[in-house]
Amino acid sequence: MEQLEQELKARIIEALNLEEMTVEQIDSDAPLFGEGLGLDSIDSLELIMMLDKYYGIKLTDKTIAKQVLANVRTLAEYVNEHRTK
Amino acid sequence: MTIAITGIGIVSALGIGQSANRATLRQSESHVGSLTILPTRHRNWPAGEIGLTNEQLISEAHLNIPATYSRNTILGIMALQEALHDAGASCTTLINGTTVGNMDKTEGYYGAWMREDWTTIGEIAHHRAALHTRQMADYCGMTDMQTVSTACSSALNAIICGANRIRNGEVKCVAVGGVDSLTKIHWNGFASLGILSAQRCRPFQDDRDGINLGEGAAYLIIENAEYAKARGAHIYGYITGYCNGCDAYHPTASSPDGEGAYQTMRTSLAMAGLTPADIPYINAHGTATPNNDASELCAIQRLWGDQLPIIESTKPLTGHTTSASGSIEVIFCLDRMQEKGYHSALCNAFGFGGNDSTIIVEATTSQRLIAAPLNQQANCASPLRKTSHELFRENCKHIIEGPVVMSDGGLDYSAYLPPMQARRMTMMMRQMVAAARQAIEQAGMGEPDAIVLATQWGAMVPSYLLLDRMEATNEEEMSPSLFMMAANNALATTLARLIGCKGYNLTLMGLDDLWEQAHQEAVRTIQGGMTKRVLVVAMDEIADGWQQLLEKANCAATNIAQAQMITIC
Repeated sequence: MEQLEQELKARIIEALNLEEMTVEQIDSDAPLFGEGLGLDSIDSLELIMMLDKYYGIKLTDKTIAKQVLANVRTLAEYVNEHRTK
Repeated sequence: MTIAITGIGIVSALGIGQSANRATLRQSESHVGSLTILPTRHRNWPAGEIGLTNEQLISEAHLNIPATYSRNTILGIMALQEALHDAGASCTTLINGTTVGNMDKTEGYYGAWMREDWTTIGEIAHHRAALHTRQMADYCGMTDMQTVSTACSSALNAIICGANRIRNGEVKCVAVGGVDSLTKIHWNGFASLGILSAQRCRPFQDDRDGINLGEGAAYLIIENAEYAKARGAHIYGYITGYCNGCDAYHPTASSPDGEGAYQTMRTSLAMAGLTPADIPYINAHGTATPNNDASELCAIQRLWGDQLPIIESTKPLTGHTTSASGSIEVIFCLDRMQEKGYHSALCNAFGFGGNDSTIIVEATTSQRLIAAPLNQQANCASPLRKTSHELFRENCKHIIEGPVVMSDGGLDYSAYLPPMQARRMTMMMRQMVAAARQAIEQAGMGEPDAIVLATQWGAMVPSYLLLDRMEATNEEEMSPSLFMMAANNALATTLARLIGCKGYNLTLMGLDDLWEQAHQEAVRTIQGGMTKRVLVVAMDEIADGWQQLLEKANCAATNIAQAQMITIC
């Protein structure tokens, strides 16, 4: 799981163009949105597209998306369970 | 000084021409349906498409134009020609609002360019929206033109620029409005933002779930009313109030309290000398996204309280015609006034980046005259049209200019841009922010209350990357963050957000005359009393891949970020 978390952090940095950030700087339990990393609604759209592209996950329900994208740990758990590639 | 509307021309999903549109509008008949023309493979969203091919449109309108003209130019010419004919005035100035420009042609050619088939590469020069406007103007025998590109508020801003020129005494008559045809890039782009509805859109309804896109063109001929009356012109109504501002809140979303829209409606009412209670009808922007309608309604309620006027969005009928929506909907205002006996109407249009505009039209002007320009002392001695930039500036002696700050890539922007804000910005956009900040600091005139920016290629890097990705993946991959930065006015609205400038925010599409264009328009807004301290910007950034294509066509383009403050003494 830890390996998947690291991989997701790298994907987040790539997808959102967080060029001055490293994998080590993202805390798995810190909120991705609002306080914490400070992402916004457009970022969540990018992350949903990233999940589709790399893991074959289609996150269409906004309520579920919000829970899944809470932090890297919740994201990794969801990806682990639902990935099709 | 009053401004009369003396000619109307319109093409939309509702029909070709004024009478077809009026008849369909009065039946409140929706022409939103399945796509038949746009060559996209995503067909699950309905749209207000004009159901004729380019060839059919050319034949329907008996146009004598090259077969290479874009759908956008064809629709534009159709509506412009009708408006000019309707007014019967001699009108040589065109102010055209568009975001699409000739993008539909570029999309059509790009596949061949990717395969290194260079047969059509010469057409790349026409990607610039200013050349689309020139094609329209040339066809209609007009000699003076300007292209306004502020996304979905483009047409209203073209009307505002034209009204301001008449008010300043610069021209007697001007054609104003906008055009956008459907393109794959904005079809896919809006889809990637998740804001297209799979059903007919439902503005202001609790279950609204997004936009139907549409296409169309509409132009008004507006004139100095004295001149119009003297020649016995039919007058549809008068433009008595107008305002543009910038919400400066978010790249695509409107602020929850609708602050930008509240300010533009309030200022327009004050300019017209009206109170909210005087307005019986609002043609709202009403795109039917949860965010837009909540924000717009909040702004309206802040002014009207619980005594709301009739609020209508005509987008379920036409679809959201983006850059054309403002002028199409002002025409619908005039028609609703005639149909229902309203003496006035207010029209809103909001663009990406929180670019908000309002226009008020009235059936009669009675005794109230539109307020004379506030900054009389800045009035120029002679009519400005056709004079050189130097003469223009010589004539405007009261204009004070701050230092010009230029960059070709070397300014240190780190002090002005925290990393989280910089991450969506390209290199030259960051340079633009640094140049603007330094121009403001060096001028010592205080913070700007307006931004006027001119560009040839628009937000070229995001739009090129988006186009390339869309074509390379056969419309599989899009990027919402690239799309929201790809509209031409993303440059000026990003700047507004970063420096906190909530006033007038205009993007002009030029050729090799960017600095002159931005400068002249900035002076016009000062003359018209709309602004006091304007940040003037010229900006272009050429993506590497695009640069290589341009070289194949022997076409040159350079990076530029240049900024200067101007004010009046």
